[in-house]
Amino acid sequence: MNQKRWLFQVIVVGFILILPFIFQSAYSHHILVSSGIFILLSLGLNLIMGYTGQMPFGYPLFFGLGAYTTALGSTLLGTTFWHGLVAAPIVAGIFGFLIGYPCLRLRGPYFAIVTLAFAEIFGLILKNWVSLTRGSMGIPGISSPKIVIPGLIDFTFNREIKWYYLVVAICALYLLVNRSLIRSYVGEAWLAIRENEDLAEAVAVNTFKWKMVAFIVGAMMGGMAGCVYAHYYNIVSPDLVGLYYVTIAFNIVIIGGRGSLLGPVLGGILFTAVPEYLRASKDLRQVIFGVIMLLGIIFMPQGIMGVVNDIRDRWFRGR
Amino acid sequence: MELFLQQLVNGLIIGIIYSLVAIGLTVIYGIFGILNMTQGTFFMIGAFAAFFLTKNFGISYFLSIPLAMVITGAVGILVERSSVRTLRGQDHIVFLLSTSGVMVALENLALVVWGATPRQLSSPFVPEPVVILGVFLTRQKIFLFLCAAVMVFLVKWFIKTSRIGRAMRAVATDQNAAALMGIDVDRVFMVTFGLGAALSAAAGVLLGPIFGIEPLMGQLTLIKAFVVVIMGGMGNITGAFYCGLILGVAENLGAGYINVDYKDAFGLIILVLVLLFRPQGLLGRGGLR
Repeated sequence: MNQKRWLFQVIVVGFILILPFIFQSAYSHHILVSSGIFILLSLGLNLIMGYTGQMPFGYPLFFGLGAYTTALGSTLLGTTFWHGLVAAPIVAGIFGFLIGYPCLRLRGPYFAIVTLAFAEIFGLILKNWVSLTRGSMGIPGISSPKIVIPGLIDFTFNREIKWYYLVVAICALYLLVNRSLIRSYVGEAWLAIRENEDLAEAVAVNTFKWKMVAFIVGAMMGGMAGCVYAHYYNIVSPDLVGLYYVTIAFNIVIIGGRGSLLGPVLGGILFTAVPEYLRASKDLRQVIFGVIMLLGIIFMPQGIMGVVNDIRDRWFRGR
Repeated sequence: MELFLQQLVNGLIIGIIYSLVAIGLTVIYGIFGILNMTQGTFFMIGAFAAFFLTKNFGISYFLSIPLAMVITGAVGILVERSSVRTLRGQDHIVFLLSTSGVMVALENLALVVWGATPRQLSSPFVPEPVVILGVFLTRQKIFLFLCAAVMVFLVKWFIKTSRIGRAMRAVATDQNAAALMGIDVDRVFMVTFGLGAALSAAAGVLLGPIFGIEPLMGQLTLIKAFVVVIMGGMGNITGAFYCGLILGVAENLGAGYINVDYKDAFGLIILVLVLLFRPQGLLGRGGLR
């Protein structure tokens, strides 16, 4: 039984590694990378939404913070992707703390709306502080990441296929962090909070503290995803904190399966790859997203992962 | 002084629009206990329904107001059937998400049909302003204010005295007990959502001739309505009415005296402060009243 499972995992990892050779065009590589970035964003969101049951409507705030941190660093100070990869989550984490500290005392819809308010205020600042952010024009000319060791390596991430492996590596890092958190005491505390916050508090779970941990780690993951976005597209704009990205990220988490480790990965693939192949316009694709979101909540409340778990139980756990 | 009066009046006019949308939102919260993400979408649908009717069927602007309200009310009932009733008894998060799904689908459908270019909803009033005490006002704005004020009054009266209004208050207090007393809870749900949608639509039709209409006009309105509902106390109609006016005035005074670029931020900052220091709302408790 264990061997069967091990074999399955090897096949999945192998499939992920050879995927760019199955779909060979640069365009399909681009789709893979962009769905990878959405997966990064959703993995962070899933910690807050799936595991502690809080609704951070303003989550793209952290995505935007990470993207602008590295964009400003890259264009004004000449920092590289690797600096941004460290700085973006730190900045996002600090803001996660500053926003989470007052907001996490609120519950339910209040929490959802007040985080949305923070994101809107941030968006207004990005639009109006033209001397720093160039307003709605956005900041172009963000450098592509390089690995340079003089005399040994001079490698630039300039093609989509190279980016694919970079994003897969970062995704793997996110999954490792998520898995170790979920399997520790923290994960148990989160589930207790999600299922019944009052009861969790009554049995001496420090709900505020563990919600803070989820919020800050989620914020840092969002920030890092923003950094990857900025260096991949080489441009950032205030749209990053708008409703477009938040609805897609929420969709991915729900369709994939709230509170499951791999749910956002499956949801991310479905949500960015499938509509691309439908060749729908951006607006029409959004209509499809909305409909899938509604139908998903009604008919598949546990997401794809719920269905996958049912099948897996049947396969691996015997009849 | 004249700048102050002008900003005050402009603030009251936009504020009563916020009040209308927020009253719809707060009534729905009072009955269902959910935040309805499609409230801004109803605002947009109302405006576009009026645009469609006046342009293609030669219906006058005045007649288009009740017609748009009826059409949007019907859409609201459909939304309730599809995304709220099917999920009854679940966590509030589920409703935030299901109604967001409807919002995303409908607003982008409107983008596909009408495109992103703003359009003008034409009003029968002459554009020349009248001057009262040094304050410039268009006739459309005066009409908007009076019409909205009458609607607020009618809604309060309807909920207070009519049979279905009393049933609504009973359901808001205790759904199960109300059902046991023979109240048709499903019917109350239907009327509530239709009413909320119709109020939002009226706001859209009234504001359309002033600011123009476009498919995403509801997004910012939705956020403003959230601010108002929370400030007024969730489910509190009177609170929503006054806080809508307060928000409109605060925004316009902030825009006039501090910085016009951050006009939309003032309301959000007020929201953050209210939530942190007075989460039960500025005007007493919530509950449908």
